[in-house]
Amino acid sequence: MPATDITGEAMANSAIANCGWSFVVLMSRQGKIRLSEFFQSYTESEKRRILRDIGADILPRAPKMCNIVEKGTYKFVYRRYASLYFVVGVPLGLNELIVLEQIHLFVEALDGYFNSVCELDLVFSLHKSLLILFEMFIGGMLCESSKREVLKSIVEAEELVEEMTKPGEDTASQLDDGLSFQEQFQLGRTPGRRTGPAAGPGGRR
Amino acid sequence: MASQARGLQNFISDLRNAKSKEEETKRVDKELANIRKQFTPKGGKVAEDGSNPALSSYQRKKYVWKLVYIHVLGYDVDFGHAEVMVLVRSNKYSEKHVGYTALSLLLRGDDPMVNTVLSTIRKDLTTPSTSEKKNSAPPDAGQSLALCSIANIIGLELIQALHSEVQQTLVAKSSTPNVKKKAALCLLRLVRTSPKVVAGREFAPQVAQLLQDRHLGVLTSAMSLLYGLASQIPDDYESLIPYVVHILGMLVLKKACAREYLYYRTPSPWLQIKLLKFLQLYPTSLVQTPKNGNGKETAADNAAHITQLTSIVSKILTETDVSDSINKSNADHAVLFEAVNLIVTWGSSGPDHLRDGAMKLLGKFISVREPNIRYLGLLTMAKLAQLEGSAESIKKHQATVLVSLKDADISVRRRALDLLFVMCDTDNAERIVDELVAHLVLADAAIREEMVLKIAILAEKYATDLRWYVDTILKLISISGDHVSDAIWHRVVQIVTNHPQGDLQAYTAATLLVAASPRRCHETAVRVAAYVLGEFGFLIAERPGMSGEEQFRILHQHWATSEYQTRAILTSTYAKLANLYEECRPLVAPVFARCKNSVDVEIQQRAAEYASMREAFSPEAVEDLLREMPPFEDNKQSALEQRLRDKEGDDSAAVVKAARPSAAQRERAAQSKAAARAVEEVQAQAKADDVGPIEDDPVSPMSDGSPGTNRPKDRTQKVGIPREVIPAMRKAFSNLCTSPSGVLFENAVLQVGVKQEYVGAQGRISVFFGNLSKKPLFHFRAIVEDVEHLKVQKQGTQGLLDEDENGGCTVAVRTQAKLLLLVEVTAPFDDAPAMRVVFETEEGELHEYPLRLPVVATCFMEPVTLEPAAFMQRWKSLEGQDRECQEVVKAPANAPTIDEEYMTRISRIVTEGLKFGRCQGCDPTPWTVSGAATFRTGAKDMNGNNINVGCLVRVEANPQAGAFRVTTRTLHPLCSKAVKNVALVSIKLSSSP
Repeated sequence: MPATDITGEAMANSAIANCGWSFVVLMSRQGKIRLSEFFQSYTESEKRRILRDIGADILPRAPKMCNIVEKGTYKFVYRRYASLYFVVGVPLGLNELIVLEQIHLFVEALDGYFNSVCELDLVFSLHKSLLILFEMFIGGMLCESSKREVLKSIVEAEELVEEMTKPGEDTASQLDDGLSFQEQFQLGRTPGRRTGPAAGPGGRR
Repeated sequence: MASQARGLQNFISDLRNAKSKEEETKRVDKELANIRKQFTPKGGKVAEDGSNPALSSYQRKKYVWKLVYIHVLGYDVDFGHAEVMVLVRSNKYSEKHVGYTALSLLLRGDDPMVNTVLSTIRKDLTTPSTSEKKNSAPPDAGQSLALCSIANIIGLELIQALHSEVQQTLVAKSSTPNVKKKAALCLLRLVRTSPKVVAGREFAPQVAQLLQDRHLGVLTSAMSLLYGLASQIPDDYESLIPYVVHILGMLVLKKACAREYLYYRTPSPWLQIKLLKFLQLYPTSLVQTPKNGNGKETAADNAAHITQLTSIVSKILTETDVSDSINKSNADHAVLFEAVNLIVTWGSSGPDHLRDGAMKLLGKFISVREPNIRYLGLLTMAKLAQLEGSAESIKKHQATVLVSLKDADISVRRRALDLLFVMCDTDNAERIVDELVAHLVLADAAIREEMVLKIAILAEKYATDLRWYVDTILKLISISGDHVSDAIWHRVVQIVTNHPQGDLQAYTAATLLVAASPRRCHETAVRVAAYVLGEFGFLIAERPGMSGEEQFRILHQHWATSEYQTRAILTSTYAKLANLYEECRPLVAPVFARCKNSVDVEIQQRAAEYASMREAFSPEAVEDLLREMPPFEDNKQSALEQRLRDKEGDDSAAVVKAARPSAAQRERAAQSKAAARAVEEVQAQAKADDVGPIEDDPVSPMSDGSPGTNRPKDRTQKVGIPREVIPAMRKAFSNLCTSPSGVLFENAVLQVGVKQEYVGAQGRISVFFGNLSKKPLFHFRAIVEDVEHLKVQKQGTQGLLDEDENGGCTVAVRTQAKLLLLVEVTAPFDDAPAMRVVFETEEGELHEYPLRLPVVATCFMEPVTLEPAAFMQRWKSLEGQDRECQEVVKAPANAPTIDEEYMTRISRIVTEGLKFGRCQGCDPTPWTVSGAATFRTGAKDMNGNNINVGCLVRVEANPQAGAFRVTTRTLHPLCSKAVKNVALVSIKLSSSP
């Protein structure tokens, strides 16, 4: 029988099959974290430990090795794109191959949004990647598997933000920041169109 | 877009340019300080909710984004929540959007701040549209944001406050697909934290409704929810199996799937996997009719589902192929492995051809080059190996698996190790364990601990000869001692202590002594050696180079380099050695003296107590204290299995495997049960006899355990030898060792008498069992143990020798059953054959007496008369450790003083009891008695002559000390020991009044 105590969080977790990602971390070849999201409650020290383990266990692995690393009660499933590692923590018993493809699906969605994504896109448009992540995964579980659907809702939300922001509302502060029109244009570029300067040193896939 | 600002861009650039982690941290700290300052209003005017009202919308968004960024980089952000709340409460979508995202990331469920926005979240969740605005925001935008946040925050209060709203949103007709799919996962997230919020039986029909949704996104989410719920209480959702099979059929058989949900031409692999996972929750679904509440389900429908499911799985199995696109290949194989898992859960209730097909596929997978497939092949094969009857087909792949054990990839190695562990059985255990041990030398640190643990479990499980087990563990210690946990060597001690049969204890003691001999050896080896020698060292003390003193010397060389824990064990061992061997006492005393000042309290205490024990207590109490440990209770689960479980979780194939006892273990357990009783009693009796004819050392306090104290209590239904007759029995046995007839055992029910005569290597022993009670004895049986060194022919009263429990003869009142044994000795020996007497009284009381027949080595002696010169020459030529045995025995306090008359009694013991020829000329004083004899055996040497062993004995008395020293020198160590033991016992017997 499962736990019936509403405060019995620990019991509950063991009673129900955990069917999603526990966390996802994007780490560069050099060990820099590009994005991290923990879908479960971890203490700060647990998080630090996971990040350290990724650096120690995954980055040194040879390309021909398998994409699964066992860590006792959970596993890392990772995929490398150019110099960026997408590392996902999953409980035992989850289908590792499908997790690999979920990572790929996420990458494809990013790719669709940024039009051939590179590491720099993720660095400078972190919030966009987060939005896509949250649109696709809820509490670590795959919510929408159609790229088109995902991108549609992201674009809709963006349009909404643009529309809802009254023209000129923030102009004063933007001037304070010294943001030129040109820059504004770059930052708020519409999806699917690449602009020059951002295509910096970040490795392409 | 306005929400991203130049300040943030600069910040990100700065971080990117940071050359070191420290520099990055410094930049982050500076930024955090800045944001903190921005959030603190100048002049202290804080708004009600703790935010800074002076901030513009843009600033607020900018700083919150920065916080989010810093958080995502892995830094701890513990302020600014008030500003996040302001954004969440905002009516502007752009602010709300930022607010919810930050809320999801920065706050966790237990944060009290969440409660301040509860009402806002509820409003967003339940009111689909804010269409009073003139813009055209999609009506579900706010709902989506709220759902996503709730799922990410997972706080208990949040769940209690909102779970019913989430549930309603999920099933509401007005909800858009987008909202529905998010609500399903959100609800699952809540249920994962608090399972109680959904009542299964009432909710199942609503899930069924969702499963009929045409939107594949909704379907996938609903399936996730269903799998989560059903894994909690499978019974509540069993009625949904037909829906699930139907959907699976659509995807697999008909390939019906909207184009945008095809993933590399595979119809939504995500959904297929969810469906298959759900079906794995019902291992009996192929044989049982699902319990359907509404009763609409007919048997025919059910059969149709089973047929459909079988053809689905069969199609997945046969039509999955390697494709050139890695993504398609992965997705297809993901589905395939799930199908195999389903076959595994069905077990023997599933169709045979599917199981065979799965086996064949896995056999192919474990040898492919694609590492992921190989990894999963090994993993899944280990699961399949748990099924009955799969062992043989899996063993065919043993060589392939052994290759994977040497793979460069640690993940693959781990799986190979696991599979080897699971496929191990009695037939291949030695080969697998030896391979693993050989590989352990090369294995890297990451996997060593796991290997050591698994090897230890396998060696214990499948050892047909426990000496092999001991050897294996010793190898582990020498190869990888650091990874041999305490639990592993404790287990060795436990097993050795609990298996007194055979020569395991002596073998272990000797092997460990050799292992601890080199100056450098692993500390764990020192620990086991110390413990085992303390317990069983006396069994080998007569072997060359293994005397008590040697044992001490070998152990003590490690003292200086040992940790306190080891020293504590050594201290106890020293106390036992000192108690056993007088020559050790002067060696041990200074160690104890030094340890009394040890910084370690434990050692200090032990040393002080052991040192003063002799003064403080009576000798009996000291011997009680230093007696060998009683057998350990056999716990159902060994500590090693527990460890494995801790590491791998309950579901691991290895854990399941480890928990199942092997044939060898069961056999051992059965043996132990039967033998433990016999052995224990035999031992108890041996000790009762206080004899040394049995391998124990008579003056050893450790072997001199009083009988009965260690006896298990579970023998209530069997009547054994009552304690009070044991002293008499002890004496009777000793007497019979040196006399031709007498009573071996007697109590109120039964008398056992023995008559024996010996000629050379042959003997004729008659045993009489007399019924002294007033009622007949039923099922009377005498079971004489076969021993290697005696050829025994048995004749007896009809039925007496039956092996069957229900057989046996009936011994009427005042009558006797008779047993005649014709024995021929074939090799030197030093114990006495065991005989169990079993019978039932009329009341149904079962009696079982373990006895020993007084057939000892000296029975087969033939006196030899030697000239003094010849005697001395042989005496000298036989000097040396293994041929000589020496022991000192003190006459008891109440014995008469040792005078010349006493010495004639001793001489009679030697000539008549031991059957030695007195060699008068060698005894210049009355205080020595020397003798010679030949031990005759029936065995032939190469020339066809009987093999005989020459034996010499010398008893020297010390009247002042009231002690005798017995020295025996023979050509065979066992003979020396046996003669010495009988001599000692006889002397003891003679000295008691």
